Order: sequence, then C-alpha cells, then structure tokens
Amino acid sequence: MKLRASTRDLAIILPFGALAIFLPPYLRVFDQPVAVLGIPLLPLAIFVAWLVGILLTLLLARRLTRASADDVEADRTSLSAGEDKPPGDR
Amino acid sequence: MARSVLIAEDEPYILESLMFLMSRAGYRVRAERDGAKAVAAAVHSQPDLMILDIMMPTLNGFEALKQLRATPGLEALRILVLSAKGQEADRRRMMALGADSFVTKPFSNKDLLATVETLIAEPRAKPANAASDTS
Amino acid sequence: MMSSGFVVIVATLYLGGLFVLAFVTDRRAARGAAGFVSSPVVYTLSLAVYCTSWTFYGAVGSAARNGLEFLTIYLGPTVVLMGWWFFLRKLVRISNAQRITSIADFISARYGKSGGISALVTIIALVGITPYIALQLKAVAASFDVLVTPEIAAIATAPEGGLLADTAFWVAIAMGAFVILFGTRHIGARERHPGIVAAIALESIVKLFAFIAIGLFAIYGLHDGVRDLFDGAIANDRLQHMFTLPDGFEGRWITTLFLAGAAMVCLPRQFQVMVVENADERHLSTASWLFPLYLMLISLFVVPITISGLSVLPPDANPDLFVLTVPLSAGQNTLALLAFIGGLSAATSMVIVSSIALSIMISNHLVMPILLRLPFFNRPQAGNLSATILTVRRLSIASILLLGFVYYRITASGDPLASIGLISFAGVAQFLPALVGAMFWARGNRHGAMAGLIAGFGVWAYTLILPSLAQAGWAFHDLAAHGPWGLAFLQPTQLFGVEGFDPLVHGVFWSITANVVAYVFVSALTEQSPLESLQSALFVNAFRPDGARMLDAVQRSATDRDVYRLAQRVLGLERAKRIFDDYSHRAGPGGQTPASMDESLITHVERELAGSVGAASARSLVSRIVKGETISVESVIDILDRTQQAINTSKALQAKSRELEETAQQLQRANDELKRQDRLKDDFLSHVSHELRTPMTSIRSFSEILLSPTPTDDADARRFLEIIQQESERLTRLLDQILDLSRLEQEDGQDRLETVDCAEVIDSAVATMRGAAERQQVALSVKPSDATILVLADRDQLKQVLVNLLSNAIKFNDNAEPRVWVETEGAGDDRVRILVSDNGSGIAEDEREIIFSKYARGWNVTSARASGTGLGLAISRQLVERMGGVLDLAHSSAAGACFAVTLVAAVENPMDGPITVEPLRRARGSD
Repeated sequence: MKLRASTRDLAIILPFGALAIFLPPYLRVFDQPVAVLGIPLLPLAIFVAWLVGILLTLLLARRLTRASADDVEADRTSLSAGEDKPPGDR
Repeated sequence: MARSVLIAEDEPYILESLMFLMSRAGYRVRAERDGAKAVAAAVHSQPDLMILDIMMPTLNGFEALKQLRATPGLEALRILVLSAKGQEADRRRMMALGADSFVTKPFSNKDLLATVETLIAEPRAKPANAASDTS
Repeated sequence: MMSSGFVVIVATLYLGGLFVLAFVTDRRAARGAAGFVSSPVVYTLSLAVYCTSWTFYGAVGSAARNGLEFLTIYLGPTVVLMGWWFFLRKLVRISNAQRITSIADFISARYGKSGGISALVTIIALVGITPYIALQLKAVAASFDVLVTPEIAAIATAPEGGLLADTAFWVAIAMGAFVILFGTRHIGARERHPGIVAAIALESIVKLFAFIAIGLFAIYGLHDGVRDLFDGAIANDRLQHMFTLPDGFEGRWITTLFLAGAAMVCLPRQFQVMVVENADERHLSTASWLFPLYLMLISLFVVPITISGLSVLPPDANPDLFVLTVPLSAGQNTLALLAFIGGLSAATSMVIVSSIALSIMISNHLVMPILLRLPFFNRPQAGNLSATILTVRRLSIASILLLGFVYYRITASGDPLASIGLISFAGVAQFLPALVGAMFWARGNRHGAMAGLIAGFGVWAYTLILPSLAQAGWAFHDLAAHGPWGLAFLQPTQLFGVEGFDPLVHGVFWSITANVVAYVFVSALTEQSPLESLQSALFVNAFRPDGARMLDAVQRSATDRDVYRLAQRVLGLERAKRIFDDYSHRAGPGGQTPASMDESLITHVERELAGSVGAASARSLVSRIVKGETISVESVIDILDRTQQAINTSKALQAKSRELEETAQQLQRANDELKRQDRLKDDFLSHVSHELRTPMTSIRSFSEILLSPTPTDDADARRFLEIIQQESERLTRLLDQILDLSRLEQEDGQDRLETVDCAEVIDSAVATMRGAAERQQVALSVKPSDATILVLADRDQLKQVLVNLLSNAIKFNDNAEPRVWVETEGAGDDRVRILVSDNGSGIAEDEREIIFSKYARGWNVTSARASGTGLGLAISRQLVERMGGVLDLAHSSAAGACFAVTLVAAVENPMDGPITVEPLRRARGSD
C-alpha cells in the first residue's frame, strides 16, 4: 500500500521515539527537584510525554486507516469494474 | 450535302489515317489534337459526328464527353468514342456518359466506316431519361 | 466495615450480571446480531484485561514501595501499541489467515507444525501463569477480608480458616463455572467467544471507573485538589521517593519496561483477546491510542491514591490494599465497596481469559495428541470426537483453577503482588525470541526455537523460580545459597559471578540471553523442513502483496473447506455436496458452507468417511482438521502450482493474443501492399496496353487502306508505308524495352564493365540524336572537357541511357528556342557526372520521382509526357545502377531540367577484363 513518506516516517519514529524518551538517560533529565504548577517535574513530564505520544498515535492511526481504506476502495472498484453488473444496475 | 466529322485525336499517325479514311469516304473532316480545343470546335462548327479519343492532352475524353453532353445545343451531336484500352468498364462508362458508340483500337477501317455511316444516317435519339443528365 | 453477607450479595449480583451479559451476547452472536462485540472500542476494552488485580491493587503497592517504577508496566505496552503498524498488525494478519487458536499454535505453526514446540510452550505458559492466577485469587480474598474485617486484614497474612470460609474458593468455583459455560459451548473453526469478550469489556469499564472514583476521592475528598495534594506530598519525607529516580534504577526500569512490552504479546490471555478474538485488523488502529490512554488514566490515578495512603494511613499498612483502605479510613464504605467490585472485575477477567487461553492450549497441544494415539479413542464406538475435545477443555479449565487455587493456598502471602507478577512476565517473555523470529527471520527453524525455549525456560526457572521457592522455605535452600555441588559461579542469583544485580534483572538477562543465543545459533546450524520453509515464507512475507495472496489462498482453504475437500476426495463430489447442502440449509440462507462446523456435521462427515476409509483413518483425518492444524503441504503446494499455472496460462494467453494482433496487423499491411502492387500492376498493364495499341492502330489502319480496293496514289502509298514502318519500329522498341525491363528486374548480376571514354560515348549518342534534334529544331550541343575522363561502364548501355535522356530532352522541350546540351564534370574523388540539360519548362514537383517509375500513375493524368513509351527513364535508371552509378534529376525549374548520370571514375590506365563495382546508394526522393 502506498503510504505518504511522512506517515511512514511517523509510524517508525513514534514507537522508537517513545521508547527512547522513557529510557533512563532521558528520564534523568527531568529528575529535578522542581515543581511546575505545584506538581513535581518528573511525574508531570512523564505523563505529559505519555499524553503527547497518545495524541500522535491517534493522528498516525487516522492517517494509516485512511491509506488502507483508499487501498480497499481501489481494490473494490477495480474488482467491480471487472465483474458483470446485473442489468439495470448502471 | 457532305456530312461533317470532327476528329479529336492526339496521336499524329492515327489522326492522319482517320482523316484519310473519312475524307476518302466523302466526309468533310476537321481535326483537333487537344481536348479543350475539340470541345470548342464542336460547339463552334456543329459537326454531324465527332470521333473522340479518350487519351488526350489538356482535357481527356471523359471530361470532354461530359462537357459536350452538358452543352445545350449539342444534344444532336453523335459521338463515337475511340479507346486504346479495351476495358468493358470504360465502354460502359462512356456509354453511360452519353457516347453513341465505342470503338477500341486497333480498329478495322471497314467497321469504323460502317459505324460512322450508321450513326450519321439516323438522327440521334433523345436520351430516354432527360433528367439523368450526367452520370 | 461491612457485613460479609452484604458484600457477598453485591458480588454475586455483579457476577450474575456478567453471566447474563455473556449469555445474551452469545445468543445474539448465534443469530449473527452481536455486532457491538466487533466494535473497535469493545476490542480495546478487552485488551484492558491486561490490568488485573496486580494493577488494581499492586500498582499502588509498587508505587508506595518503589516509586515511579510501576509506570514501566504500562509504558511498555504503550510503546508496543504505538508500533502496531509493523508488529502487532503482522501478528494479527498472519494469525487470521492461518486460523491460529493460541500462542502455542502460532509459534508451532511457524516452525513446521511442531507438536513438541506447542507442547513446550503450553507447559511454560502453565508454569508461568499459575502463580499469576493464584495472585488474583489472593487479591480477591484479601480485599474481601479488608472490607469485612479491616483490622485483621489490613496486615497481610496467610489465608486461614477452612476451605468453605475462603472467599477465594468460591470465587474460583464461580470463575470455573463462568468459563466452562461461556467458553466451551462448541468447537469452532475459530476460537471466538463473544459472550466472554462482552463480559471482559464491561469489567474493564467497571475497574477503570472504580479506580478513577477512588483517585478522585483521594484528590478532592482527602485533600483540597491537586495543588494541595502535591504540596503535602512534597513536604512529606516518606513520599520523596515518588518524585525522583533512585540510583541504580536503570536496570530494573529497563528490565520491567521490556517485560511489560513482551507480556503484551506473550501472555496467553493477551494473545487470546488481541489476536485470536480479533475480528478485524483495523481495530488495532483504534486500540493503538485508546489502550495507551486507558493505561495512562489508570497510572495517573495511582499517584494520588498512593500519596493519600502514605500520608493518611499508619506506616505498617499494606500498600497493596490502599485502594480499599483509603476510602475505608474516611468512612466511605460505598466507595470501598465500589473499589472491591473494581478489584473483583480485575481479578475475574484475568482468571476467565487466562483459563480459556490455557485450556485451549492444553487440550489442543497436550491432551488431544496423546489421546489420539490411544487405541481407545480410535474405535468407532468411542463416540463423538468434538464432544471429547469439549470435555477435555472443561477438565483443563477446572484443573487450571485448581492448580491456581492450590498454589494460592500454599504460598506465603508475604510476597508483594508485584514480584510474583514480574516473575510470570519473565516466564512468558521466553516466547518472545521465537515469536519475533517467526515473523521477521526466515531462517529461524524449529530446532532453534526449541533450543531457545528450553534454554530460556531452564535459566528462568533456575534463576527466578528456584530462589523464590528457597526463600519460601520450600526447597533448594542450599542450592540457592551455594550453587549446585558447591559451584559458586553457578549460583542461581549470581550466575558466572555477575553480582550486585537485582535478582529480576539478573534472571531476565541470563534467560533471554540463553534463549536468543540458542535460537540463533541452532537455527543457523540446522536445516528447515519443506513445510517450515513454506510456513516461514507465509509468515515473514505476510505484508507483501504476493504474501498476502498466499495467505488468502491458505485462508480460503482453511478448516471448513478442508473438511469439505476431504469429504469430496474420499466420498466423491456428489455425496459430499449432498451432505453439506443438507447442513447449509440448517446454517442459514445463502447456501454457503457453514462458517463454523458444528459437532453433528463433523460427526456425520466422520462417519461417512469411516464407511470409506475405515474408522481409524477417518477419525485421524477429521481430528487433525478439527484441531485447527493448517492444511497439508501437498495442498498448499497444489494451490501454489495451480496459481502458478494460472499465472503462466494467462501470461501465455496474453502473449498469444499480442502475437495474434501483430500477425493480424502484418497481414493487414501485406494485404494493403498487395492491393497497392495490384493497382500498380493494373496501371502498368493498362499503360503498356495503351502504348502497344497505339502504333498497332496506325499500322493496321494504314495497312487496310493500302490493301483496300480503292486505289491509293503513289505519294500517299509511299507515305503510308513509311508510317507503317516507323510504327512497327516503335512497336518493336517498346516490346524490347518491356523485355529489357523485365530481364533487368529479374537478374541481379552485374554486367561486365569496362573503362569507357565519356567524350566518345557522348559524341556517339549525340550523333544518333542529331537527326531528331534537327527535325524538332532543337539546338544540340556538347560542352567540351579539358581532360580525358574515363568511367567504369558498359559502353552500349551507357549510350542507350544517354540517347534516352537526349530523346526526352528534345521531345519534351517546349521552349521557343529549344536547346539541349551535354557536359561532364568530376564529382568527388572517384566519381564522374554526365549532365544532360534542356531549357524546357522543367518537370513538376510531384512528378520528379514518378518519371523514373515504370508504374507512373501520373500517366492517368494527361500531360504532354503521357505519350511516348515512358519506360525509358525506368530502364535507364536500372542500367545506370547496374553500372554502379546513379541516375537522377539534378535540378529542375521553370528554366529547364537537368538529368545527371553519376558513374564511378576509372583509373588512368584502363584495365582489361571485367570489373564489378558496389552500387552507389541513391537517396530516395532526391533533388
């Protein structure tokens, strides 16, 4: 199936990026005794990153579903073009 | 009164023999070697019979015949067509165009003279369907 | 504090509600009206079976003890779901195509349908999951006790009291009944249980709702909002570990992240809901973000509950029970009850799905293979095969629950929930190398997979199970402390002297390493069987278009059609059709083969088959299909062959039809060419006929005149005879030319050429034409040249050509003062040109090539040139070309035309003897 380059890139980057950001080295970055809006930075950062990841996944899923729906549609039209149509079904 | 014959033929020797034959047979003879000039001469001098060769410069026999038959005043003109091509299709075509007789070369002098006499003896019959002018 | 009776009633009502839901769903599914079960949201909710009582209770406990580490359990699956496009999607696609019924089935299907592998995977799963089931039962019992007798149960103890007083016992019974009722209705071609999926989805909603309710209570009930919650938390020393990462956390963090991600795929219950029960690959796209959202929400509310628990409750309170004790401590009994129901949902959904998944594996891969070897079951009187399978399933379920219950009763409750869970995760994670290799590494084979599984399982048991058993005081104490036979470097918790690692990290590291190394090396060193290669291709190439087609081919000929074809082959087309037609009417309108074989049909087919091939063989054949094995190698190869043939045939047909089209076109072209040639020939004949008849006419006419009785005078007679003679000559010339032309066209030999003096030939030709020129009053001249110019030519033919050119120039010159002249010039190193020019009116543009052609259609058009033989130029050109030269019209304008004869120059000293030359190329359409 034909994927836009950006969709394909996102599909690869997203899981690996998410994995990377939740690994120790990057997490350490946020391990500061700081509070944002009264909430300690580390848990806040983790949850924000998590939410962002979810939203990106939603976006990606939409794009991927659209791409494969186009595929299915193309298959269907090419199939039905070859089939015999019943009379009156023009 | 001597009948007049117009000969339209471009081959010089054939023309010469025809002129000799016709004049010896007692006809007044006029000759043209060019199709257009032959048509003009026919209009001008109103011969009793015209011997028309198909292959001629400027205007070939087919066209000349068409023009002659389309010219008012020449309905009574008897036309005898000479052809070096012996094809039946040509004969039919020329007859359809309004030729009165069709002779192929080489011809027999006797036959030719006989045909000429026969044609001249009778006035030309009006074409059965005047409506079909050209075909 | 609540009355136990009240809690029991509420719980019973809740579970009863689940039963009803499952029942109704199953009924609707049988009618085909359970569409809602195939919604992507329900699918995602069923994935949430991942959140068991470990999540519901143990997450808070883990957070309280170890800070943020609990997040990895939910981050792992999040990452896996994010990469769904590449991994999970392939898993689901292959499994749908191959009618996979369990994770053991998947792995063994890939590795050559190995019974050994599927049995091993089943055993590993059973060993790994039993403690996990026990964990759920323990959670239910503990939570019940907390509700009813909080002061005792707040401190964790081992279960006391008799069997009948043990809540867990009743829960186990209820779960067993539920699963048996809704999970073992019939043997289908696909292991789908819509009733159970519906129940699980509802439970997922309930547990999320309950958990969030407790969380919100913690934020707004026990504190004044988020700000207040965290202000207090930051100030509290006991809570600092929750907001920072301890030193040395990396090992456990990465390990648990990895284990959680692996568990998402390798846990039998996850495989069941995510892959086996998946109805539509596209549901994955919704689950990819919705499920992580679910996980995130639950994790989110772990934090406030933990904070509240740690700050509000006494220090020795069991953090695993905070979810209950926090609301209880504030007197919120209803909320606590809700939490209990939530926890009950979490526990029961895990038990239900796990037991179904495990029972499928046990019956398909452990029990049935053994049973089918027993002669007892191969006798016709043994009864219905599918009934046997169902019985085995039910017994498996009961056994699984029994095992779990026993484990729960025996083990100490001192272990935190989380650690048991992680050891389970580590166990099923041993499936991962073989699973990943199955989908992405074509070289992986069953020997490698087997080796990897054995190695991984062995090291896992040794490094993780054994020490925990030792710790519980059960056994292996010495072994754990000092290593086997006192070999310190083989100590279970410090293999090869790698010390200082958390036992979990250590165990996971060594077991996975052993697994992968064994898998890769043994696969590389051994060969695949043909069936393995085929399956390997099907699996690894599942996303390629041809792979998909192959999968489709496999899918279309799956189980039910296998039975049909089997019946056809053995019973013959007629009988097979009759049998299935009967049953398809029962299945519903449409007359298709029923989507799932029901037992009676299978039995019937088996009986019919037995009549033909004997009971044992019939049983063996049908049972293999019913067990859900993929089709045999032969059939697949057959399919592939036929597909290949079909492709070849269609290619051949295409090629043939292209050839035919080409041939038709060629024929058309040849036909057109023939027609053209025909017309030309007709023209030629017609012209020749005319040219012959013309002189004949004068000859005949004048002959007749001379022979006629009328005398002709002498002058005339003489003239006429002259004409006759001339015309005869003309006739003769024409006939000669025609013969020449014909001869020239037939022969292609070269003439004998000699060295010829141009000037001499020209003079000779001019002399011949002098007379005609004078007669026509044309001035004919030759331009002299300085030197002697020699050419290679045939003298007579060259003269003929020049005479022809001169004749044309003279004849067709219509100028008032006609002139014709000849000149010679050099043209390049080795050529000579003879030019014959006139001052006539030139040759019309469109006649320039025609005049050289013997076919000149221009003869139909009347022109001055129409008279004469007209073949002269055609013949001249032929002659010149045979001399190796070119004859063409050099130029033509209103001022006159000029013909050029280009010949090969000869050397100074003329040579004797014949010479042959290469013909010069003439440009077509030259001028």
